[in-house]
Amino acid sequence: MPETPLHPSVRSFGVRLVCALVICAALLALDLWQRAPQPAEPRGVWPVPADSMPTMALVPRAGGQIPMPANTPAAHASALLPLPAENAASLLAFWFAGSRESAPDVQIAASAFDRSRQQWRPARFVVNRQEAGAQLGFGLRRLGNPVAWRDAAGRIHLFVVATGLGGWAAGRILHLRQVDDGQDFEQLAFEPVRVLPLSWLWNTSHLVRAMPLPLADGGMVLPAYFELGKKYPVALRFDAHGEFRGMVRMSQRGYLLQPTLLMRNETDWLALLRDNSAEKKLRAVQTVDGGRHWQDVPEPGLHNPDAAIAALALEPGLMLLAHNPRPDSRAVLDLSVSSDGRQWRRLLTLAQGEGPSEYSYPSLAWADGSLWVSYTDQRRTIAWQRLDPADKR
Amino acid sequence: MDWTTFTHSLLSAQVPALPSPGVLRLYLALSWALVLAALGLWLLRRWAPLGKPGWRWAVPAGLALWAVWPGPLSPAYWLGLAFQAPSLLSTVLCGLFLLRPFRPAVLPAECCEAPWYFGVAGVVLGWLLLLDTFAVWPVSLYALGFSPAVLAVVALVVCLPWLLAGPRQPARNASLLLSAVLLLQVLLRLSTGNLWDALLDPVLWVVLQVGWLQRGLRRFRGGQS
Repeated sequence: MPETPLHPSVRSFGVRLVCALVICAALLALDLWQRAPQPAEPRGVWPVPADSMPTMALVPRAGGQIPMPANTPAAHASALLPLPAENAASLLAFWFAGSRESAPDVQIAASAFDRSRQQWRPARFVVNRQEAGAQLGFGLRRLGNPVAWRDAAGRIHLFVVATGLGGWAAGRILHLRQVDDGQDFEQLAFEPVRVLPLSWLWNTSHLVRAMPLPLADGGMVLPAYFELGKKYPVALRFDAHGEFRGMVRMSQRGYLLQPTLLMRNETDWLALLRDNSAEKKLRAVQTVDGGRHWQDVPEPGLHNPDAAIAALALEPGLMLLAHNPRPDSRAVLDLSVSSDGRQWRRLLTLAQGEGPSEYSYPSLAWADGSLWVSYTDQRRTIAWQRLDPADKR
Repeated sequence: MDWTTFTHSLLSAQVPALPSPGVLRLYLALSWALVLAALGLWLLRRWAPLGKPGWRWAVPAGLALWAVWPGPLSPAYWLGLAFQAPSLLSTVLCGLFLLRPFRPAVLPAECCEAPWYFGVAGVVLGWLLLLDTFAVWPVSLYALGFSPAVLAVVALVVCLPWLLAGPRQPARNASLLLSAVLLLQVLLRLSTGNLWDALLDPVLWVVLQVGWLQRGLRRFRGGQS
């Protein structure tokens, strides 16, 4: 086959080199022009107003079961989202519910704690896998582990595990955004934004569970994890509008999952992790530069029966942890307190049962001057408790 | 923008630009339509080479139409569930494969043969990314795919065959094709916003390895005889 004749100048190596450099520079310029500015230095913010002054002693004030949607005998993995004072609800709870875990009919349910009536509103489904799949253009096999966050404009974002071909280990993180800015719980609806691009292998096996750490720029850091065979934690950064701003691997140990972030100061954060190894200990990693680099640190010395935990740093030197303290069972759920995230002291037992009882997957939030806890109760319902600082009563 | 900020922006993997949800959805359907049509054409040529030309095009066209059909009746809906969207490079290659019978003079088979080292580079990159998925490397290679600096490096690398091989057509065309893919990625951010996802997907990686093995076997048998 005859070669296509080229312009004589392109036959020279020097000319080709200049052409190649010009092409690269043009591509790079076009690329940089399309990108958002570099985000601000990541600095965490405390979730509790300074005048709220929580104390280390907490006493139960109220509790019970969050109402379930009709005909849903199974519920798991709740997440709480505090709402601002002007909202009719103190906080929202999200969880997945259906006929059983991983069933095709599982959807993401939500309820709101009404400020005036001091009770939970009837639950309703807010994310359905068929509808989300139709909007995305591809199918979702099952849904789970919702995590909620409010962006700088007050819009709620949901991050939900949506599986592809396979079980939970084939999960992907589906990012959904509130359809409008309305504050009425009955109108709360979400639309899919995208599946977060987190791995090359068909974007498989990244999941979420714990609540995000809010940042001073209005964005947040969302803890996530990989769990196909090897299990390792990842921190995902989002800007004030909820746009994905990158990912950082938090540890190379292959048995750590479901990281929970705890702020020690603006840039010094600790992550406590569920342990999938035979040792059944709570693990820890730390960053001192706002999540850009992470390193393994000594364990806090607590048992972990390969179960999710929830942690919340209320103010400097005051951290709370909801966890299953026994190495082989989820029958006890404790609330512990710490000043540094390393040494923990049991504050009270939130729930306790016998034998195969399960009180697990807790979530913590601070709203209306109280600590709120939600957790899975026997995989059938979501229980909640409200605890007040002792000096408030 | 001062020099320090510019340098940070260049090197940072914290400024990804992702495709809009609408573009992403359109790409999912169209890319699978092209891939399925190309697969249909390839299978027909392989298993029924003597069929009537009209029929030969009916099957790929039917597959493409089926893929753009909305909802669960479309194969793209289920392929997306399992594999998300194919890479830009796979989509462009399938598009060229479909186009070639129409423009045999412009796209003869000889000029579409990529130099062997492109296949090797694809296979090696795939292995690096696969191992990175399982956190084997101390730094996340996948996250680097969001960095502008990596785009610049890859753009230089894809120009190398043309630079070194000069006007020889296969090398020049391979450089041209990959540069076009990079330009599409920069403009549309497909398929995910990550550069590696635009250049290589696991299916293309497997195809490259199978092709490599086939060539190796052929050479081995040729050497024996």
